[in-house]
Amino acid sequence: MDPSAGDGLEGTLGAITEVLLSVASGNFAARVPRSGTGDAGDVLAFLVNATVEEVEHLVADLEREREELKQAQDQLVQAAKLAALGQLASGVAHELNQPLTVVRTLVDLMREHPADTLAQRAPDFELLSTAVLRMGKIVDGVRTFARQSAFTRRPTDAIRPMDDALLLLGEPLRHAGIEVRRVVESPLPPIHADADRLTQVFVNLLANARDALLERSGSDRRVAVSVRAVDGAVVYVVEDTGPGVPDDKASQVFDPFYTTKPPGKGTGLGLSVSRGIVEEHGGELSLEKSARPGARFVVTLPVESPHGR
Amino acid sequence: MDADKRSVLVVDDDDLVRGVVLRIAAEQFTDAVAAANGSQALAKLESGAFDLVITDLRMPDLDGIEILRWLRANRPATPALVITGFARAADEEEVRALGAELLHKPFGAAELRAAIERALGG
Repeated sequence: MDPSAGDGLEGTLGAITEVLLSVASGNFAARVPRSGTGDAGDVLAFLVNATVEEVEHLVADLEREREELKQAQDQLVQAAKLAALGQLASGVAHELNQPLTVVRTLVDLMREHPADTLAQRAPDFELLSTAVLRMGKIVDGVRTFARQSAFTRRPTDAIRPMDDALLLLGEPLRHAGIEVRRVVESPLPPIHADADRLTQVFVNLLANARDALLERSGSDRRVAVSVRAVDGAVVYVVEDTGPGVPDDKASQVFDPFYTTKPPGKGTGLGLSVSRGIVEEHGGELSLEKSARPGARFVVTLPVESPHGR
Repeated sequence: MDADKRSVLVVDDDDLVRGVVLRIAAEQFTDAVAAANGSQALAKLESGAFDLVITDLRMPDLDGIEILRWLRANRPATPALVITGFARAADEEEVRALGAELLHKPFGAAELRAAIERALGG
């Protein structure tokens, strides 16, 4: 401002400092006022302004790219969900083909004996019934996956979800040559839980154990399910003598869509959904490192009253 | 139909499917044997001869393709029929390349009988 300031640098330096401080706090529109005299101060002001303008453009580009990246990520997640649904659908279709085959062939066979009475065909009706029930279970599985039923918690016997899952999978496991061990440390407090959803968690863990154990032949194929009370919590452990989860995959197993199964065989959603269910109960589902080979999953559920929290 | 012993092996990990396929296959064979998985099937194949092998593709241990390969290597004259609910084009090509018939699930009694006939060279 002082015309006797010579090359104009004194005044300019102050203005530059202000502008740079302003830019540092995120205002990229700040500019150094120009004297237009062409002296050293003016040239410096021009250079600083040019630099700040460049920074402004770069920041705008970065913002735009970040937005595009976020959109691309969202699309990827969406595509992955659709792919998982596609896998689920084709898995369901494959599963349904089995009982559908049974129904079709049985109906054909029965039609070939029109003179037979219903009583004579009773064993075939039994088989038809079983096949249809299986189809119902497959559809139920999809519905459960789609989580259309509301999450409702009730006082529940802590053993029930575990035992209900064992009811569903115990026989198929033993049939496949897998030993099933069940250890319960009484007494156990009741838990406040959505029993059906928790059963789904144990079914998922047992099914994973079964799939892991089927990968290996030999006689030491075992899954052990245990439950005990610890300090205001109920702790369940599901562990198998299968190949276990490699260390580098341990953090991924709970990721949605992560699966080691071939296409059509698994959606990769089981563990992530299971963890979601356990967390909805205020609990934790984790994969623990175990000294023995095999996978060891731990479900911890808090014991709380329905009026607590 | 001649009175000679004719045997068929049915391999499928689904017990209900195994049951109905066995029933229908048994109409044309004197002996109908079942296996619930790939290793059981191989055990039976190694200890006996069959006039037809009917097998699923996807089973927990050994899959149907490996059974077909074993057959081509050890019992090249034995016809095979693959019954499957889920086959990608690559699988289908391989099944046919291994000389087996293919029948998609779900099927009814008539389709199965026709497929058996095709497999036997009818």
